[in-house]
Amino acid sequence: MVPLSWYLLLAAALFSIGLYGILARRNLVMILMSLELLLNAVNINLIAFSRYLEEGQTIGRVFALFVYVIAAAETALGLAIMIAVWRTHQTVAVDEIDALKG
Amino acid sequence: MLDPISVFRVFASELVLLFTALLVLLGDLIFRPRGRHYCTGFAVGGLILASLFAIVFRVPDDTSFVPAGLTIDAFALVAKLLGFSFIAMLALLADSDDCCRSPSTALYCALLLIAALVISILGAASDLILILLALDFLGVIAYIMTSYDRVNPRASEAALKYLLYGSTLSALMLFGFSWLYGVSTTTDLVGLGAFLDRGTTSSALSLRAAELDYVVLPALIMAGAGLAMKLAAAPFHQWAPDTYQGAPACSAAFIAVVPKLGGLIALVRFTLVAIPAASSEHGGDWQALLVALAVVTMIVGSLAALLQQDIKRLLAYSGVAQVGYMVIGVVTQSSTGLAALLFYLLVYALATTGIFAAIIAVTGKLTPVSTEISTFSGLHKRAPWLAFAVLVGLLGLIGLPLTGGFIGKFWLFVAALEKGFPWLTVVAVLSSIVSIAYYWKIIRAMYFLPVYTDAALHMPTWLSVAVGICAILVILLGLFPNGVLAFFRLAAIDFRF
Repeated sequence: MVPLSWYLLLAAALFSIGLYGILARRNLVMILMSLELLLNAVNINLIAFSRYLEEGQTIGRVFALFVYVIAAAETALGLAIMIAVWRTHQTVAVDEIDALKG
Repeated sequence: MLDPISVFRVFASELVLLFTALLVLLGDLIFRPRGRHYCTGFAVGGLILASLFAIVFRVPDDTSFVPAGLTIDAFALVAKLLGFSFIAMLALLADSDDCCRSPSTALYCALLLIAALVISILGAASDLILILLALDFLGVIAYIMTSYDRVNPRASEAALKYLLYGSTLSALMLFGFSWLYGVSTTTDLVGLGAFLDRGTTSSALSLRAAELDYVVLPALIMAGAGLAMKLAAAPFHQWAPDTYQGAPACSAAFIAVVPKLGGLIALVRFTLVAIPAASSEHGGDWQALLVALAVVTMIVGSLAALLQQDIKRLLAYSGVAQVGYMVIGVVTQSSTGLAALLFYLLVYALATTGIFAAIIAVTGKLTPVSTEISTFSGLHKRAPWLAFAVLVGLLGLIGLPLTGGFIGKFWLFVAALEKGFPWLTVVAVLSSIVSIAYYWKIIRAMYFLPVYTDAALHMPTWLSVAVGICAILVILLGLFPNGVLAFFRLAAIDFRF
């Protein structure tokens, strides 16, 4: 059987890739996808923990379901805001959206 | 066996809010051409009714059917009442041209009511899953409100920054929670507290006690970062000034008040139930983190506010500094500190809402859109009472005697000194002194500079009511604080310190 630590390493790697994507990408679509990676990393963590640590309990899996809910809500809203940004700025490159500063 | 009557008694205020929200939306379909002024009345009425129900049915007879993860106690009641009153004030602001030109006031009021519902769940939430859901739900509502004026490029930019910052940090918080769940195999705060208790620390993971530190501490730091973002505490505050400036003024008032309330009640419960400094293995580390957060927040907020020329940005940075004082209340972990925190939060929310109402009145009709401090120039001559109300709000935020801000700060500092944090108090006092310098910019503009424009000021009725209530309450809380303080002390009785 695959040891638990492999799953945890996979989750940590995914999380790091997601963070890198959020910080380094300029396209909004890619940033939103990186955000999904972060939440998926969390889910892998939760499900791995719940599979390996608990006998017959489901808290971790339920938690993961709720994380999906949050991921869906935030992505839907992110896409909606992206459309609003596109309509007002004619761009989705984040480094060109810089009117507010000071 | 589920008894409908007792279910209703426990969730009466939540049900009222839900039905009012639906009613407001339904009314929008029916009455749409006839105007929108009924929305505010409905929303405020629903909130008052919900508060009454919350007070009348405050102690449930039978809590056996209350879902696991909800703790219905005095703190939950106080959090609920605070949330309802803040949102009622915000609903008064919603009926103005500034924020609700675009889609509809009904939708906006429904969002406010749902936010009140979320706050009331969050006040009772004692499970990581529920805390997370409620905080993120509140975040989603705040993002929607920021981008409410969708044709405004600044609003959509502000919403974008808020969304990206907020959801990244809440994912970070989630990652921390997932590790806390992994080491303790529970998401319940009480269970987590039992796990982190001194002496009984043994993990389901095959780790030794020393190794466990390397898991728990980073997890706590990640969770804390997410909570700090909700509060706009430095170093996680960068979204705040841009979001305040770009958002419609009413939404900015919402962002200044409600997520801070939500984050603070989650932080208080998390700290006092899961990792109290007195008994928890990592309580001392967590307390040290909170001290660092408070100090950095106060310093960064005060210094950055000095440089601002835009009144919304200034309020954003000063809000950062104000949150620094409130975090002191969490650091102290005493009933004095908790009561002072809630009292100060109330004064802060009232003063901020009043000032934002004035911003709506002063800058709502300006073309081109500007929220520079100079738009407040000579407000004393244009609208003496409005200028006076803003003055009262600002003095409350500074913490001058005879205003509620003084009482709140005084008890926060007393609590910090009692628990042996003199340096924290010194930083807080210095930060309050610096705050005079930046709030003075607004006072000077209002009273000592020539008039910005001669155009008559248009004050909708609801807005005048909001400004008046805020200013009067800030003063009344300063003159007669004892009853309210005693009420807030009750909130602490269910926690062990």
